[in-house]
Amino acid sequence: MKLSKLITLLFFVFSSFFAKAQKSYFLVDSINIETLSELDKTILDSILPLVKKAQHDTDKIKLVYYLTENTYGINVWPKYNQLMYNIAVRNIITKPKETFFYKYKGQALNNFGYYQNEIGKPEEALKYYISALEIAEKYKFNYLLLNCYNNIGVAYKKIGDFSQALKYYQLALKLGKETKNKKSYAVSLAHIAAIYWLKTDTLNAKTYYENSLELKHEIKDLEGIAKVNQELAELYYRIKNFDAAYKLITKAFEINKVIGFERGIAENYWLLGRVLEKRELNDSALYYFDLALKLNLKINNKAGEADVYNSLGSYYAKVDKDDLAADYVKKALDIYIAEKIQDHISFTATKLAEYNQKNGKYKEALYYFNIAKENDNKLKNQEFDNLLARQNLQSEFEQKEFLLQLEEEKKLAIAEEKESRKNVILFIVFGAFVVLFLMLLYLYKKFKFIKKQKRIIDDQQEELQKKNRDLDFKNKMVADSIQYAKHIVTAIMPNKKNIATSFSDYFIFFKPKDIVSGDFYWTHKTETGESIVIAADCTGHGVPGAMLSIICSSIIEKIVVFDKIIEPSLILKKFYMELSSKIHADPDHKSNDGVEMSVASYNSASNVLKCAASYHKMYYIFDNRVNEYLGDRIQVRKGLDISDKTFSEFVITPQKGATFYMFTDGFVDQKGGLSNKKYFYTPFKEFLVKIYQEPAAKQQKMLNDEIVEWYKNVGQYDDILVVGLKF
Amino acid sequence: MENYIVEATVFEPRVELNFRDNKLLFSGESRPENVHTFYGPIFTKIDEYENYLKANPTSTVECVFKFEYFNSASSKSILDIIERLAKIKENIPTVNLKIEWYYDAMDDDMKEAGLEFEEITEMKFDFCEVI
Repeated sequence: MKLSKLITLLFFVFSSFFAKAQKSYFLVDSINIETLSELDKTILDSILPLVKKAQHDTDKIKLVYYLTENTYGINVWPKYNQLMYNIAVRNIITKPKETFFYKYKGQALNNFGYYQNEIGKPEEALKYYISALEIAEKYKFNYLLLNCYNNIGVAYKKIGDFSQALKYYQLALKLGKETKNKKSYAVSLAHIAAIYWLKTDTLNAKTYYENSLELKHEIKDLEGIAKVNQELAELYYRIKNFDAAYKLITKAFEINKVIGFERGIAENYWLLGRVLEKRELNDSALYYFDLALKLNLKINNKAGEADVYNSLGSYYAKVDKDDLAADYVKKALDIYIAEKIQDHISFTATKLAEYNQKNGKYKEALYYFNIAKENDNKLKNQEFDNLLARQNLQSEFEQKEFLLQLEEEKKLAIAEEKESRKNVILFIVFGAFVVLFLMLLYLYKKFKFIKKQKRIIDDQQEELQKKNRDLDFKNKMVADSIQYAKHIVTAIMPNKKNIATSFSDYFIFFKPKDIVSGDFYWTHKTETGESIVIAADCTGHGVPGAMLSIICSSIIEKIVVFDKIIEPSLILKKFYMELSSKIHADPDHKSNDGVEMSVASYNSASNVLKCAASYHKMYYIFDNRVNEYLGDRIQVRKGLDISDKTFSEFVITPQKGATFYMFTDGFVDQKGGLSNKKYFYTPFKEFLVKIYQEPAAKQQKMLNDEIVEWYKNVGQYDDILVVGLKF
Repeated sequence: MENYIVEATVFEPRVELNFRDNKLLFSGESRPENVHTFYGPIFTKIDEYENYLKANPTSTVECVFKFEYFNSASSKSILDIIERLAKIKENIPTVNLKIEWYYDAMDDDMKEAGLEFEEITEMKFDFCEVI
């Protein structure tokens, strides 16, 4: 349900609760049901429920217009006309582009004018008519235009500007003919007739009236018929055809009674009274005068009231009741003056003056003559005044209309601005909602995405943790098994202390890269007193190195302990031959596994040190000088027979305080230092020269500190083994 | 024949077998955890290269060794490479195979290793000292 409908409904609901029951029925204020004519009542009863039922103003205004046009009570139709005007204007403000309501606005303005004219204010009436005329011309409402022309004519006629009146009537007549509007055409004819009549051209007047009447009969315009009949009756009365006048009055009266047109009825009574008077039916005449007077008083028709007084005055003058006559005529004159019905003032004042003169009241007679004269002068000036007034009127109307237009435009602009502001607000609110919605959508998507990501990450993390746990577990397993392997290796390796008694001091700086090592040392003291010391480097390190080192140490064990070979060069040769037969026997074995080693044999009793090496260097340092012994570079590889090769053996007689060093390449090849290079042999030699006199344990510590400092950034590359024998 | 490139790591040398330009390069440190998995594919490539050279005769093949460090296990593999190169020279007499051996001026071992490989494989090395 639309808001406007709801509001309308609520409006009706509330108004039915709080407004007077009367108003809720009539829709307008202060209609006195007792003063309603039967016809008006019937029309209101049938139309008002429809008005109330009408949902749209377009329907409502049509019905109200019908009421305006078809009710006659002076207290009735102007009220519905006001209602029609209100409906039209409020719709024009909201829907300025629809011409529909302009028609009713124009009609209402026209009716306002009609009312003003009816209550004797033709100047006021003209203002409204001209406003209506402008609307009619602008929107080409021919029907309204016709009404306006006719009504303007009537107003000018009332003011006394007959030429202007005739001009407008003729405009109406022309347009009525063009647009084939018989009713209007008939009205125009009647009006023109009235002008001719006022100009005492009774022949023309009669012709126009009769044409008009014929047309009105044709279109069954009851009100029009009654009016023309009345006016024609007036004309016949004037030309003293009282029978014709009487017939016409009767016709008009019957119609006026049916349509409840009281002013018309009052006029009928009055004319009837005058016709009866002329026929010397005085009592009947007075009876109708009385009815006319009462009705005019009832409907507050001052002009009509005065007219009746005038007629009564004439009657009493005729029957020589001059005082009474003067009283009535004076009453009439007072009203004419008060109501400014100027065309009646002169002859009424003249009549009163004559009555007074007749009764010897000259002073009064003079007074009234003067009034008549003044009024005549006034009327003469009026032609000129009218001209000016018309001009003023026109500009005033234009101004008023312009102001009205401005006001309307302002209202429209406000309404439009309200509308556009409403639209802007709506747009903003809508926009805000859209943005909010999009943001929420985005956040929701983001949230879902993050949630999904989090789940994935959690899953990954969990998997990673599981893998880490597995890895830790496996690592521990491996480490444990390697640790255990180390025990075995250590157990297999001979106790290095067995050589302790042979040297004044010694150290074995053994620093495997991993738990187990490819480097290994081997010591043995023979029954003949030789201390055998071997420093060896099997290819690789860690577990593979360690496995090879176990094999190697078992071979050495066999050679030295069981075969009792104690010469270093022989030990080497025998060792490589045994190794070759063991690990190179398998033709599918593709490895280049090999061993580099140094062998030393020292007899402390004879103080003879013999040494031999394969790929190794050995240093004997004494008196700060280094004796370098280079091992043989004899390839021990698959398919190479070394049985005819001989390893060089060096014999040294060690001096007291000297130190003999055997070492693998782990120390010298260790990368590190500032330039990340190998340690190299020369610096190693120089370092040994610096420390060779130190006690063995200290030397070992210094070597350890030196190499750890060297490789601190890159880590240990290989197993490190340095053996120092002090003499 | 597709080139074979292996980027250097902490434990592995850079290997650039540019077969199309007939240039082979080994540089850096070699102490892989498992020499066989590292050098195995290289052996295969060089064997293929020999067949390639037979089909696509060329005059000069340049082999550059610029090791800063290699462990004893790697040294056997390096020797293996040089032996394969020697075999190429022996099998394809038209090929002029040049071996350049770079070593640090301080690194006697590296130079000696080169000398030893030269001796074993009976190849002529160009020794280049890096200061």
